[in-house]
Amino acid sequence: MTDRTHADVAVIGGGISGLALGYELRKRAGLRVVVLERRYSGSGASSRNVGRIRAMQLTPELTRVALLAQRKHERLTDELGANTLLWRAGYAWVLYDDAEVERMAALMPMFRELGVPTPRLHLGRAVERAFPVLRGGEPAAGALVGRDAIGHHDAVVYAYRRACGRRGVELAEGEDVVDLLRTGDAVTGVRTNRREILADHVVNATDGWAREVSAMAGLDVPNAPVRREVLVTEPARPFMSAAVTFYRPVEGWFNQTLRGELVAGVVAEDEPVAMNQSSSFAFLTRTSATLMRKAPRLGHLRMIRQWAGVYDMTPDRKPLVGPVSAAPGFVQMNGYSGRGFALAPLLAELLAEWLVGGTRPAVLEPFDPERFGAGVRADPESTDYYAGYARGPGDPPRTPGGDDPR
Amino acid sequence: MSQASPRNRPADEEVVPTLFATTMREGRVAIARSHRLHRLRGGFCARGYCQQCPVRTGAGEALACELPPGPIPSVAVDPLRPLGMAAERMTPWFYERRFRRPRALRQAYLRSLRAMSVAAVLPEEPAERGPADAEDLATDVLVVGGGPSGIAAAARIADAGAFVTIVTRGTLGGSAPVDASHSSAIERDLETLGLRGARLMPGSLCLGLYEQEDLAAVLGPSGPFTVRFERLVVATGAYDRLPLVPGNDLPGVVGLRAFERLAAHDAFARGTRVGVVGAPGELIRARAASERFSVPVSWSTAPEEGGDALVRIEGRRRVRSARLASGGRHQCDVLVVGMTQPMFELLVHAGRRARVEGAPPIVRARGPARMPLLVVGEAAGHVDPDEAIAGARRDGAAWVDGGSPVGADEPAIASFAPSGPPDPDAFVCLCEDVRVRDIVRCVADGFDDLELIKRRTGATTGPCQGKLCLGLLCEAAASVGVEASIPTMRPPLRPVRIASLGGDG
Repeated sequence: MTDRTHADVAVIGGGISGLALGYELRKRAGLRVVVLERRYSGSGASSRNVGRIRAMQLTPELTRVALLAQRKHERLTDELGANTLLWRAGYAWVLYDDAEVERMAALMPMFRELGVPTPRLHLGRAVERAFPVLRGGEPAAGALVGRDAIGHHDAVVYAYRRACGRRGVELAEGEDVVDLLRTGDAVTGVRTNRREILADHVVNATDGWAREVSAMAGLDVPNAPVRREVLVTEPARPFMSAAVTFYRPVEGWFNQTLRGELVAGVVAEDEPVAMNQSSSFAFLTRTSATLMRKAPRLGHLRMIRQWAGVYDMTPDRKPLVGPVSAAPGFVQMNGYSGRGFALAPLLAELLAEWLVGGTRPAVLEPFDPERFGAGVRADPESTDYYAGYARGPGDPPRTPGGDDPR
Repeated sequence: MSQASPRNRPADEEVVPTLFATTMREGRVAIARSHRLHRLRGGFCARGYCQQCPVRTGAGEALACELPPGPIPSVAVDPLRPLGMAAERMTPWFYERRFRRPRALRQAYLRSLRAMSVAAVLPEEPAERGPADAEDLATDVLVVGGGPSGIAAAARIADAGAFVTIVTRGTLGGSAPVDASHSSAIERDLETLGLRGARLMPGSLCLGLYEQEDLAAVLGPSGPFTVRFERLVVATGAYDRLPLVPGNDLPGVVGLRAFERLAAHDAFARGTRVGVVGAPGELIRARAASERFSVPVSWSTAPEEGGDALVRIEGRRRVRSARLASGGRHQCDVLVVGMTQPMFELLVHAGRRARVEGAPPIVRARGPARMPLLVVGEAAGHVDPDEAIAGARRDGAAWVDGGSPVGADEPAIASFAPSGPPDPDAFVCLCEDVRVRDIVRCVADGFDDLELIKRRTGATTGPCQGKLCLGLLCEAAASVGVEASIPTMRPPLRPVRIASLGGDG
């Protein structure tokens, strides 16, 4: 006989999204919440990212929400009672041709209008002076530098985990959801490897696994998991602060962590859509060779570890957030397309407000989980969010992984 | 990739001493500072895995155990050590997680944490790209590790007609001092391998196995390359583990295998008081090295055989004495610890599951692998060199079809029994300066899974990649009731420079 328990909300996925939502629901309305995590808290993308929290986005819609999300991160340390190590390290898009500089420069008025803390555009030789770490590398045409932040992903996840514990959210680590309980189209609970849980709302906060879990609710969503890899070196004394991202010749990024390690990654142009968290050797040589071209001083550092996680990509690179009318009781909170760490705390707060109050906060409007009709796939070729910005007309076609990191 | 010819092993008297050996001879055992607490540190392993002996050179930072003798900057004075001492007294993870108020100082606090690091300074000049001329290879049998056991097994497998490739980080024949009978056996085995057309690749570090790409990644003298193989022989040897007692990070505490190398390098000045604590097999090896290289051992104890257990290592800036369970205190300038941890990382890459065995725990990789697999020598748990080589020869000869050879079950490791629950002051992780009390606090805070403990405290995530500390972490966690589930193991097996991986193609 299977155990059967009851909850107001069952959250599938104990990453930053699931924990944050559990915390917000409990805090707001004292709901009985159970957060179900197959492994340990943050074991998916939440512990596999590098914590970039960038307000500078390429469209006003995303910039607006990213700015709010950044402010939420700034409040977290006080809200949760633990230092989440939010560090105003800065963020730099390093640009390698004039067309790219022009496209990025065109964004400045939008940033000003929305109140993004004054990004600066460095040109030519000034880039190297501002970023000594690039010395000796391929000359940059420019760099757009924002006052963005880097958080510590584990510190944030663990702050939420402790806050959930204090507030009385039931955190079920090592409990695997094997199916959803359904009555007609409605979702009434979950079946796990241990029990059945009846719940008013079942939240899909699994990001990379969101498509699988949505299928359990009879939904066909366009989310597509794509692997992104990271390497990390031994620590060194501070040599850079702002997190660097570049798009030419392929997209890549690197920054120094608070502990002094370098974390870096260069995207594979032919990364297939798949739930794949294995590391590859091709990534190591590709990333090392690109770093040697861009910032050859980094070649002195010894790499000690590598790992991989996935981005849950949607066709328009915007998350799916909110209840699904086609499956009453089922709630989406996924499809972050690489912005999960930055957006999750804010979106958890807003979604909790919605579930408790019954009205959708205006900020969540663009993230309607049913905005894609049935059968829409995340087709990176035709819908690349960055197509009109970082990419030149003559550049090779981009790929599923071809979005910027974090 | 050029094929190296079998080369003669240098005789012991030709072995070039290292900077580590010369500093030891001069009695300067403290040669580095820990990254976070600025504590004095010295080398433990003498062969490039413990990462506790980095020294600054003209071209960045390098390990004293891998450098030729030369000048060494003094680490006696460190203006930031008082801050490290203050941090030692504060709540765990002072460095990362606790500081909240005053709010206005948070950014300044984070900046000062960064600035306080003792880590290496990134050189101003660009790094020189490594070569990238190596070709990817395919072989029937890949042997990782070219020590006496690896070569012995490889020669028997090649004799049976298989195409064998040996990759080894250092020279063929291994880096450990071997006696004359083993030397001649190595010569014969290398000859056999030459006759059979085996591919011998010294100076080639295996970075690990990549499951999805189905290959081994290797960094050789001509750059990185990959090897596809049908069967795998793991002869990667073993390293020494630290005892989980207070003072275990003091300069002057060295592993048994380091003692053997240092003794061969004449690193111990006359009058150096050497104490030895270890399991019985390790003690025999320590005595053998002591006799062969005329380094007198002042005292030794094997708790396993009714001897006295080690409870504390004492000294201010270096080891001065060891306190034993009976209450006795033995003076020493160097404390040799013989506690064998077979290399298991590559076996985990190959599909085996890591688990802990014994008390104090040793990490072993057991169960089936993805490919036909033979583990020989110290990696298989042998401590006695004669047994290791004889076993490798026997198992290699019996491993004709890739099945499990007769007698190839890997022995359990004897380790010395703990004398009670670990002391809160004992260090678990030297790279990240994590102590037992930090682990205890972490578990009390509700982080009761090894993966969570690892991420929350940083234990096992430093440059030694967990080699020195994974067993200690399991031991400390077990003492507060956390089941040891070994965290994921990923390449590389050793730290590698980005310039070496990103060479000119």
